[in-house]
Amino acid sequence: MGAALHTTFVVIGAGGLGCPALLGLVDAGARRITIIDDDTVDASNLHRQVLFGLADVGVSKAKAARAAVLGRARQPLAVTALDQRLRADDLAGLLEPAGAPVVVLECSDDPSLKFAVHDACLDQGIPVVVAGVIGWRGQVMAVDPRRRDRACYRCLFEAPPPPELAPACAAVGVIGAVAGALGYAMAVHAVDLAERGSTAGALTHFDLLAGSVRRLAPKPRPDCSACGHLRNNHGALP
Amino acid sequence: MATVRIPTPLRKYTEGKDEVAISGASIRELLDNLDGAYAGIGERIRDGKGDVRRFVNIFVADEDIRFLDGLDTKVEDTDEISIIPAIAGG
Repeated sequence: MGAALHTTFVVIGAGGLGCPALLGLVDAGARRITIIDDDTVDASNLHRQVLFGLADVGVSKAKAARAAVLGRARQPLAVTALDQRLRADDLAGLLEPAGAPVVVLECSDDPSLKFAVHDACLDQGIPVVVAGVIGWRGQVMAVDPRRRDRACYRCLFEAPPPPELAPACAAVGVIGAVAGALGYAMAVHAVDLAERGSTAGALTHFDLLAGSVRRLAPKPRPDCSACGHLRNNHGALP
Repeated sequence: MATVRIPTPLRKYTEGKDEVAISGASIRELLDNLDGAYAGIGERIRDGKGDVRRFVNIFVADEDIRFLDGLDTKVEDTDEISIIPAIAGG
């Protein structure tokens, strides 16, 4: 790690994606992490939320995840655990750059929040990794607002799916190892965003039952509601 | 006929098939024929106005149809069409 040593990684959601993403960040040498989650550990989470054990059932996920990563880290590590429900209104203040560079990992299971976090990050110029997982499949995309020649998540998906068409993992199931693969991929992208952003703008789609991995690198949409204005106001960077 | 790759959540409409061969001179016609062959799949891809839902992407090879001619994008028999919905679970 170079620049990533001085980066604060903000992990939103310490669940199926957040747990392996945190492991990936810690093992990569991250020094500053903020974990945000208002939920508590349930026994039904344990097959995919690999930072937790039976002793954590009923405990705040943010606090249990903080204890787990601090116990694992070999490097000096500062972890802030925020046991709070994140609302779209909170995002601006929470993500406001405080001097040190920030990279956000959006690991929640709320489609609307996923898009709101993405949009707030773009507004504040903060790189963000967005992912989703269900069953045997998942998607991950790194978005770097500094790279105006690269697509953002809304260039690809214009709006979140309605709840009736986006069932939660708790309702339809997810293979723990698939969430693990996606979470680690998020950590890889996050470290890359902190260092150089070379992986930004492409969505990787995994179907691990079929054994297929597909990379889609769409062009930025000029009329994108999230990033179109950045290009229109400032032009594309070389 | 073009090859249409079906995402996992929609395979319940295609008898579990992950790809199907469907004819159609354009994406619009291909989607009409897809729904004709596999009833119910169409409304998961398009809304009541017939537009592609905003959390779904359709690619011809690796080209997003929004950068081509949208639903009027021409389809060749050798084309591979991918339907990619956003996945929101975490």
